[in-house]
Amino acid sequence: MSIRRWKTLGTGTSIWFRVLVSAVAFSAHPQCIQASGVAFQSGDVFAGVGNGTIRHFRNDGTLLDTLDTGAGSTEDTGMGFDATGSLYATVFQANNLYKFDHSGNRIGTFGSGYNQDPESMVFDNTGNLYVGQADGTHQVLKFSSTGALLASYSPQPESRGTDWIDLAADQCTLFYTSEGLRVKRFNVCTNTQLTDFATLPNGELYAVRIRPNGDVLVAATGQAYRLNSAGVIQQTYTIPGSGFLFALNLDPDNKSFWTAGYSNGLIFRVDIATGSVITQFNAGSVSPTLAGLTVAGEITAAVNAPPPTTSYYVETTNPTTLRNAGRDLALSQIAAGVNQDSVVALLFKAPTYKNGQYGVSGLGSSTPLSTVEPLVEDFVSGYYNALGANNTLHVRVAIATSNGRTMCGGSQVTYGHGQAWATMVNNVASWVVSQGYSAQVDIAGGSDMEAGSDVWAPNSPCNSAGQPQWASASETESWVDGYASVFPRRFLYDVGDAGGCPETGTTGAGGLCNAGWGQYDVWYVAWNSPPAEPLPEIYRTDSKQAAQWQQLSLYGYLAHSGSMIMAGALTESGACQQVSCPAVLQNTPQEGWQQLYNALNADPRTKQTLSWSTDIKKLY
Amino acid sequence: MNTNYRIIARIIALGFLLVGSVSVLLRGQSLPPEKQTIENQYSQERATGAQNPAPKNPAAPYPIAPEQPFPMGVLNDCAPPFSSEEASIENCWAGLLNGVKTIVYAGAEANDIDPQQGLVYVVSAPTYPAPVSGNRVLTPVKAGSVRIVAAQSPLLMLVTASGSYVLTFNINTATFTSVTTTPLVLVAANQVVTTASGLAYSRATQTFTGTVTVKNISGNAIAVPLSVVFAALTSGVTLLNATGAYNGNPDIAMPLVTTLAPGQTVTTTVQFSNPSNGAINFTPVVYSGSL
Repeated sequence: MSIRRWKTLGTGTSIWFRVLVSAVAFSAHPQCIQASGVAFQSGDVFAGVGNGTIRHFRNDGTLLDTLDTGAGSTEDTGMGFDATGSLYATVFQANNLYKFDHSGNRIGTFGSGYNQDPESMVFDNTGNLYVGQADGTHQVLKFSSTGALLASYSPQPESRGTDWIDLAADQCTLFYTSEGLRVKRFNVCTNTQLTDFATLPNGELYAVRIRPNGDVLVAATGQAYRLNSAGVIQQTYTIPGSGFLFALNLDPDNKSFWTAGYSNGLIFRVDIATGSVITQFNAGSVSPTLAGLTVAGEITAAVNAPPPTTSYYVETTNPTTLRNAGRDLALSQIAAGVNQDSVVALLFKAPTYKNGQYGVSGLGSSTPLSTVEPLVEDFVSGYYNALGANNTLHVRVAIATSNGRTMCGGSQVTYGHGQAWATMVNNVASWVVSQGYSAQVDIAGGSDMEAGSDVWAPNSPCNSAGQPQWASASETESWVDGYASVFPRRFLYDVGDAGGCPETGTTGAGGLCNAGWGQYDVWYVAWNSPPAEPLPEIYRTDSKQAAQWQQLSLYGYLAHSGSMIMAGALTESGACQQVSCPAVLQNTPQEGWQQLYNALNADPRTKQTLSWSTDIKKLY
Repeated sequence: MNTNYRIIARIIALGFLLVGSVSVLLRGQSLPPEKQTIENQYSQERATGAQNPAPKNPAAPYPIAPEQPFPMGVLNDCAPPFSSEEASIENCWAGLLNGVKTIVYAGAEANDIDPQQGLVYVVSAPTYPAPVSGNRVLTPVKAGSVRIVAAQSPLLMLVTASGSYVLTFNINTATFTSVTTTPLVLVAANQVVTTASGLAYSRATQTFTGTVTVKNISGNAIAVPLSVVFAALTSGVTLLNATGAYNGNPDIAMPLVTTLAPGQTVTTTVQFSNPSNGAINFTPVVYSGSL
């Protein structure tokens, strides 16, 4: 058995935790059960409670499952998630790292060559994994996403090793603590030691996390600290009853963090701004320590997903509702401290042509484009006028229809409708300029173009039985051609899917997708057309859609002029929170963005940045 | 163009190029030329807006377009807010439940999930910003997609794609309350009387609207679902609010989810398109059971 650590309590009082650890390490764990396959959800909390086990909680403290590494380690320490949502856990005394799938089923060990006491981990933005080690060589190890050892680094320790690590957004600066008083730094790109980030008044220091805005949070035994990006203490968190704070992780909301009492098993969710405890629960018996935490969907600075916006399925024609939705987007961005470009898609429905007017389908009716136009203007007006003194935020509003067919109106996915849509988009854009809003808002088109194979059921009315619910590839391409024929052109974001398209093995010949579509067709409507750019649905938690779109980008590289550049990722976790949806479609914005990012950047031929993240809800 | 103008023009052009470069950096990519041209257009508009931005006024007036009325009843064209990755929607019902707009979408799970699994989504949509909420409820039998054929709020009657099953759904409790297999039976002419009203023409919708009423003149209750098939409908005329089709003829499921008692009548609205504006003829045939 490895020596764990000693800790100083007060001035000069030392206790060898080895004694405690040795005393209880071989006691049977009363709740050691096999995981029962509870799918992880964003916000779920995982606690390493000793004896090789990890308890899976809902964020209200409801125990859902118990995962067992089988390693019997007395301390189960730092954990994290890859882009597919698989859980990785360091198992301190076992000198190993274990991987679990998205439902908590143990897959096995991950990586090799651990020297002594791996304690923490962090993924970079290409899916590589860094692991910090408390003892032995104290080296930080870098693994590929498949577990191959890529590099090892020897940062200067302070009191112990490279216990707790995190990686900055620049992908180079590794922050770490070493059971001393310093937050130290090491450059993994140049393999050089950097100056210390900060020296704190009280310690010892353990888990460290970097926020997307550059703030640093660190667990420091009797308290936790928040430092600004210059290393200056901004806030000290003391939590009554917490005992010895050891673990620390960021919640996906970017407004709260989680920490826990090392010895008493109490878990706390703390409001970063106010320091108040939002949630507190007991992890149950710990054997002997609660040495690691993580949160599904945890924010890390290294995987720098952009802050998501809320897009909408627009189910209303109420002007005030649209205006208030725009206002609320601005207010939420300001409150979250967002300071960059973003995108929002307003998804109106399938194209219609009724009484000589182009429009979109609504509930049992058709909404003419002359009504869509002011509704979008309402949204823009609400957004811009709620920005107050903010002059840096900017949103691109993509006005989207779809390639859906209506049961009784058939397919109006036509060249003429595409032209009319582009004209309407230009009208809104001109209005934005004329109002003096264009410094912070611009306008694009969009379409939810899906390679859908659904057909109307037998005995459906309007002679629709057996007819496709989605337009064919050629109809959709014609609509896109119509859109592209209107000048000045504005971007056309494909916010659809690539149903049935290959997930691997793409060649220049192109593969087949659903409903007679091929990779060529999806590539044509999403990229080949001059104004087209993909902002695809990445709903699925199994990374299937991310793989399909990476392969489409690769198809462009192999068969045409170059890979497709994606504008971002669209998820639907907000809609799923409103109205339940299948678990396999519940990617969070961070997960969807990271899946697509990792898929694209795993292949040098499709490597790219990914600017935007947006999550859709239903607006009635 | 004199020299000074050329210099000014070059400065302006350089400004646009610089703005464009900033844009490229913002997006972090190098775009193909035709897409970069579009991005440059945005950059120009952004720069223009920055020179003379409108004051931020939360009370600024905004365009008011007339709001479309919230429809009620069983609707064929529902514009469902779902990806084909999630569900295939056949039709929907819309109405007010306890004063709150409520929509029930009926269909099946997506092809990639389980297309044999029928489902409904119940969506409660109070006025924004009150939160939209709802449930996804799977049918108790797996017989493909389901379609709403009749409604007496809070009860809906649905049939499976195969016509094998008739299901009753309670919107209030978001549960299926019954599943039956109902054979299709032609209702004899001596059991019912069917009457059609005159048809009114609407210039706004360019449609003809009227009603069809079925009365039970027998001494026994007639089982539901009850449908009127519009046989021999005049060529070129379309029954716009058909809820299904039988042997190539459109039909309407009568809005009834319990039996039609002796002496009881049930009436439905009919809406036709008739491009020729000629006479509209049809032969109503009443069926009991799932079409």
